[in-house]
Amino acid sequence: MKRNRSKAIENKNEEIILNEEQLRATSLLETKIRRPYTLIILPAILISIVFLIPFLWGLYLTFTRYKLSDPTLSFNWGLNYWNMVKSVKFWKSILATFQYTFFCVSIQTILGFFIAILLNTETIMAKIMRKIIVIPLMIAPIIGTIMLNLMMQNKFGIFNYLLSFIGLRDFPWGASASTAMLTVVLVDVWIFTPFMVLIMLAGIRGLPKDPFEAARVDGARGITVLIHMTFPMVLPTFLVAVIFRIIDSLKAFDIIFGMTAGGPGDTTSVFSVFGYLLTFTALDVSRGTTLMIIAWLIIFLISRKLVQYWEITRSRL
Amino acid sequence: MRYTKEENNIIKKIKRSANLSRGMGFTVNILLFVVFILFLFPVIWILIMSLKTQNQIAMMPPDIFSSFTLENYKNLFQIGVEQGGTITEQTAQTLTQIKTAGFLNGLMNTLIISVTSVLIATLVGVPAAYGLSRYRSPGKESTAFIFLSFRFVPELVILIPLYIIYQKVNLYGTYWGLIWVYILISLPMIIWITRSYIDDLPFDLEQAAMLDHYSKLRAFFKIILPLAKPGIAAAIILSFIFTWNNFIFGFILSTNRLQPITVAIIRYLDITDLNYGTMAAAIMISIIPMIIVSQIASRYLVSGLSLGAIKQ
Repeated sequence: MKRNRSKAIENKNEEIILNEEQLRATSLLETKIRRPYTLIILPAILISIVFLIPFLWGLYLTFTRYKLSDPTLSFNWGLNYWNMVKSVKFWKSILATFQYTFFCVSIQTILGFFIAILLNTETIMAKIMRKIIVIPLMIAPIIGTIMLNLMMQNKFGIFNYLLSFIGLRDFPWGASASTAMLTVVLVDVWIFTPFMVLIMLAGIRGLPKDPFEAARVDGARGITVLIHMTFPMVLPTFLVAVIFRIIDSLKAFDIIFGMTAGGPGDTTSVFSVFGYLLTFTALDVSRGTTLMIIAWLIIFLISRKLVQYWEITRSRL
Repeated sequence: MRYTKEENNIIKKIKRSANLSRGMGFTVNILLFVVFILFLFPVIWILIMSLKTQNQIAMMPPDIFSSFTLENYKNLFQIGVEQGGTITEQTAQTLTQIKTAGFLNGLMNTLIISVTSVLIATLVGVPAAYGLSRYRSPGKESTAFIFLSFRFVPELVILIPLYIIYQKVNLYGTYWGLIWVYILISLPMIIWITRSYIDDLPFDLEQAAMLDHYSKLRAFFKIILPLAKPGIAAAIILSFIFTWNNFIFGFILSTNRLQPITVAIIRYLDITDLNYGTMAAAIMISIIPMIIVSQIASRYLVSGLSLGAIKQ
């Protein structure tokens, strides 16, 4: 934007001779009046401040002892944090969150990339699917969870019925500690792979045609083109999608809560679910907010690192 | 260059053949068909389930191809039909009626909350995006980043304190309380998407307008706004989808009377009246609005989803 403006001003100085009035108008432009800026942006800032108040209050709560069942506030210093770091459930929660994020994002990325490549063709299915692939993404995650849950029931569910043909009878899905993580990852992959597909497809379609034609002229076949050309060029776009999914998975709530509410034996108690259980089931607000502040810190640091990395790849291109 | 119809057809043929050989095309079609089954089977299955009676669903193997019925949908919209029967039956009927009314109520609530919050967020956010884009100021980039960071915050960090604060301020279980929180998720999105769109509009146009004695305000309305329409549309559509599909805000901050559809459906699916057909019908009705939105607004989706990082 600044580049455009200075270029425009340069052009103007070279080509146009201004009369006095026009000169006054343009100098007004250049002085960058501060007041209208604050006027325009003030409502947004006000709203943000109101947003900050609960955050700061929550931060304050982490240094107190406050239960919903006994709403007296007693100051606690860092005891909550110390207790949290000592508790086994906290570390289980960290494990669950990172497992969930890792599996979800990696599966979605790989699947998404391949589906995007398939959708980049002009076959009949590609044309149909380009319109239809979005549908799982439009379903509210909690409702999607209910849908899949309905199909995973033992008695009436279609999934177990279909699985019985392959010899897997009575697959426990969300009920067993060993399969709960698989189940929630499955739901997340179902709903959010179209997100990856959409963004990657847009990225692939935005690539310039010439390098690819040159490659074809030089005799490069499909796979080589794929690995050495499509993939590196689509990387910044790729990363946008990956970053969004990583952050959304780290703070995921709907799917896991709807499916297992923390899972058999805390196997699926990701940050947000654990925080919810602490606050509304164990009624311990101070511990809940402590966990959420720690979770927020982790997510903040990771997201900052990711955005920095993304800027690097963007500038490299 | 505009081509004649014949030239268009020839061009299409060349493109198609340049793309894939016959065999490859077939493989792609097969693979995409598998993808179709994998991703759309649940939706199709729930659709079928919603059109069957309880008996047909309960049969194993599932009875797909026999008669279809619309009675589940009728059950959803039927309120206040009193039927006699034993005490347990009557209680069950009353509970069902309460649930049904709650479901429709949920739809209404979601509509009200989503539309209002997105509207307000747009009215506040678009000018803010313009301000962030066009004006110079020392704290500008950090302000913009703070707006963006709202997207990256786990909701419960805000919701847990807000739960307590709302009860003290009597905002718990009110429309405005909910709308306020929903504005907090739409606003950063709208600001960020619109801003990145306005950034791409060259400043020359406004400058030309101002040389012609337009005030800044008029330049904004007559020049920027029409040009930024796709970006604003993407932002609005995306915020609308997010607020409609949101679960956690309504779950924690609303009462029975005010719950949005996502929460209402969870409450609908409890143990009383295990009619899978009606459940499936309820699910279908709650997902259809957003599917329709996505089909109408498909070209705005990508730029919206990537928060303006990728423009089509």
